[in-house]
Amino acid sequence: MDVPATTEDVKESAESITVRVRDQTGEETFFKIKKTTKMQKVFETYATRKGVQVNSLRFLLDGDRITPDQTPKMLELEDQDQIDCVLEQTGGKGHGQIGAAAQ
Amino acid sequence: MGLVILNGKRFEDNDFVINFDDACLYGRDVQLLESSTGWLNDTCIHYYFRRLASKDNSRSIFLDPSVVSFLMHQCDDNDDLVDISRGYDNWTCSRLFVPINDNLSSENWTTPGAGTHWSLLVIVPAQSPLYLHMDSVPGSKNALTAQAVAEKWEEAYWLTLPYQNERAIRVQELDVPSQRNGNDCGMHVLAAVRALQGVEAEASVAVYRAKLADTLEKDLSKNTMFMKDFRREIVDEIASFVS
Repeated sequence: MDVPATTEDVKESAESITVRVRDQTGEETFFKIKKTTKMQKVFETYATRKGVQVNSLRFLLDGDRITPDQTPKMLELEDQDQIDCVLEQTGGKGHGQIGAAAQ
Repeated sequence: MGLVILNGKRFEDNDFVINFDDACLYGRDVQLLESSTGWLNDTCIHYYFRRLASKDNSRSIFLDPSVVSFLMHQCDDNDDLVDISRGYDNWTCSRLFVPINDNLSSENWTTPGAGTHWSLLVIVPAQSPLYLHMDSVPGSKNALTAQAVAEKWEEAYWLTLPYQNERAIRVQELDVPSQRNGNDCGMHVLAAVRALQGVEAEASVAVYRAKLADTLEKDLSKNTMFMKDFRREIVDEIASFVS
């Protein structure tokens, strides 16, 4: 019983899937990756292609953040599944209202 | 390149620091928290929200700023909206803490690292729903953004129900202490959520206001360095997680 299960595991880990990354303009980029490859590889390749720092991008799967050390297998991603890329946001003050807020 | 030292270890901008409940912090994120003039990014806010959520027993949702951005820019059809609404348990949560960034309604939102201002929207679904907006810069444009987010959220909410209800949504502005510099709006959001977490979701607006008067407002008037100390407290805790 144990032996076939192990064989199946090995087969699955070598299996490749295509993951679609959708950005905030709706543009899709396709990545063919092994189910055991860390998502970090996708993030870095994607950032390089877009010409931005990888740390300024966030990746979501159904509204949850994907971390770089996760793999498609851990995320239960299937062929042609979509992940969403969202951009870094920042803030510290208001729009020209600082004079009013300062003491 | 900046540098941050945590628990005796050096972290440069792109060095991974910790992963707390899928909130990954890198050196540059911690630098933003550590510097008294740092502008918090969405990752800093998401991290602290995960910390608060880990100690929460009020069935509140602490929404990731990235998810708010996704809601406003990427949910382009009703299916997406329903998915996000169901995924976030809009049905059963008592309250949502929603970080608002002005870049959500800016033309500049397609640039990474955009935005100038954070404020806080609190949604209480059981109060038909109640929408409370808190802004450390009174009169900023974030009020308009909060209104847009409330409308989008309510649209998603009704889509999950078997009947529709079209009504005018009113976001109430709640008086909160003003920030005393051009940097701390994100810290004000974190401090407000930390204070309000202890308020019963179903409480009246007056109770929400009283809680802030009793906590954040007092802290700021007693200690002019309060936000600096609060930043230190968050960074010290992060350092304690670094092995």
